[in-house]
Amino acid sequence: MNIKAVKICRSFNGKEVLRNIDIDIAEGRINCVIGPNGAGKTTLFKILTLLDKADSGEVYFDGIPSSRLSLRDKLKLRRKIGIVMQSPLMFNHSIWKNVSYGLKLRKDSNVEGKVEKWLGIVELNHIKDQRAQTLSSGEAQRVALARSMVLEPEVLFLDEPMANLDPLSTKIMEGLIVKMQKELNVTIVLATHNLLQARRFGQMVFVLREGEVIQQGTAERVFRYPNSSFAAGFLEVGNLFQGKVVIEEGIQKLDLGSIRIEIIPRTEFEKEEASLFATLRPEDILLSQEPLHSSARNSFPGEVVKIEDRAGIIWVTVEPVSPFPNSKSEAGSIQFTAVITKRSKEEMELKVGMKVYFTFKASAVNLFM
Amino acid sequence: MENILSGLVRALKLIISLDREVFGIVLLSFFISLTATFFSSLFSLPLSLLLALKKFRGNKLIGNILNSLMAIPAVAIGLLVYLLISRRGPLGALGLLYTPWAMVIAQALLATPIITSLSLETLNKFGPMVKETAESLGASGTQMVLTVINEAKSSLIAGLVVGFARVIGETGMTMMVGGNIKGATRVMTTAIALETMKGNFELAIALGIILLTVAFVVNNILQLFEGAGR
Repeated sequence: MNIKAVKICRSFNGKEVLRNIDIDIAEGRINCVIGPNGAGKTTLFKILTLLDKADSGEVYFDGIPSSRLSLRDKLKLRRKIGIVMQSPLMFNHSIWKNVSYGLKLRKDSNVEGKVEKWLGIVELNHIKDQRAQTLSSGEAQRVALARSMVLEPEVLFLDEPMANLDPLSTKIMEGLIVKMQKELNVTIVLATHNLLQARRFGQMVFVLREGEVIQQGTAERVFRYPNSSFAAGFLEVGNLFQGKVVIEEGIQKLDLGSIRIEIIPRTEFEKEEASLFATLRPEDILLSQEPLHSSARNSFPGEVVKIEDRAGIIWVTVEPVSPFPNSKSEAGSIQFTAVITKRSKEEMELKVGMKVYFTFKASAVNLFM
Repeated sequence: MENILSGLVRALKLIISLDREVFGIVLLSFFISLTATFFSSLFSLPLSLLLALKKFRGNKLIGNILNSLMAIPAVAIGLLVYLLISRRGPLGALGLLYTPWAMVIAQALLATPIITSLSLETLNKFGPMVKETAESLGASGTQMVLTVINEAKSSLIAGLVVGFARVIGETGMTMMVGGNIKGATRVMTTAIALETMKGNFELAIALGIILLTVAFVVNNILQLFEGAGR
């Protein structure tokens, strides 16, 4: 089922929660809606699942506007969509009764078989008679997932399903989500503020900020080329700079204050002194002890100011040491962060205070106004 | 002290011997208060469900009015009902004054804001969540309402019990519209008031013991439901 929202707006008590949201859910894929708390993810999900109404705008289901659907058709549609909330409510009954609830509403002929199957998948068959309200949040999430999936929805919305889970429960849930998408071809829409998760298995990514979708596209594109300083900051691109375009010997460069970096020339930046933001992924920066003679257009001497070991990956912060005295930018000293392996660090014998060269291609620099 | 002790002994004898007059009064009390609670619930429960599950303009105002009505003095309701059903009142032709039905009407009016407010409090707490969950799992409007009632039943019953306890213990209002007529509209509270004034303590104490037992049982039922509820 294709779900598309056009110009969705929603306010509560005069506070605008969603503003002109345009969103097109990719069928049969994992769609991640990412954004900080309060960005409007839950409200958006409720509107897309017909649990709430937008003040204006339209949601289309396979091209049919929801406002034109009768109550009966809306119910039919709702029955093709599942949603698991961040803190799902468990009915005051056993786990088995919770999972069978939707099937009984539909007068399904194989309640027992389907419930058993899904309780098996979420590995809760052994406690099926336990009261659902006595479960831990991880177990409750799994019950909620089984309760929705047993209804064989075409689209499943998951509203931060792993926000309150321990690492083991998170791993189980992630495995289940990927399995569902691959084996059952269910369209998944996952709200999360866990960027690693979104990068790991999000195929389409929507960045939501204060009720607006500020960027959408494939995960690769969104994470590599954020289009705003907020997206860049939120997506943790690693290096975010602000600078002015200068033309040096006919070459477009970005003056960052301490250094000027070469960028891919673009006509819209031809006007000198255009103020731009630039992002650079840490994995796109090469560190070396000697100057590198390569096709990369940017190579600068620097000094290592910080070395951090984050779960086996080494994050190295370098400060350029060759300032341009004529720089027109008022930006202070800037730092570049690169990631290297533990082995590289050992081989280079990297230490704080050491002089190194950092190199990156002009094409690795993502620019936006 | 001797008066009280001998009154107590004779009262116990009345209860043990299943005295006809005593149990006639008890049965009538239960009949009137249960009927009043029943009719009140027919209005209170749907209203509280509507207020909790459907947000509309004036929703909060109605809730606030109901809350304020909980504090309305029972005699004021008694006066209102009296004026309505007295011979010269708009409903005088129905001949309800000094009948058990007049008492049922007054008690139902007294119980309604109590039952509605208590039910609304419970339903406001988790009704919207249950509604959302039921709808997200494909419940139709009717199926959703039934699910909400099923999930809230312990608390809803507790609200009914509180309403019943309030009206069965009411004296002044019941006497105003019922008239405390022996064998017709005399209930436990009005009988206790009358017999005490007459100095006939044995009947007053016997009914007092039964009324206390009712309060004790009701309280225990309430705790049972509160334990079963959320």
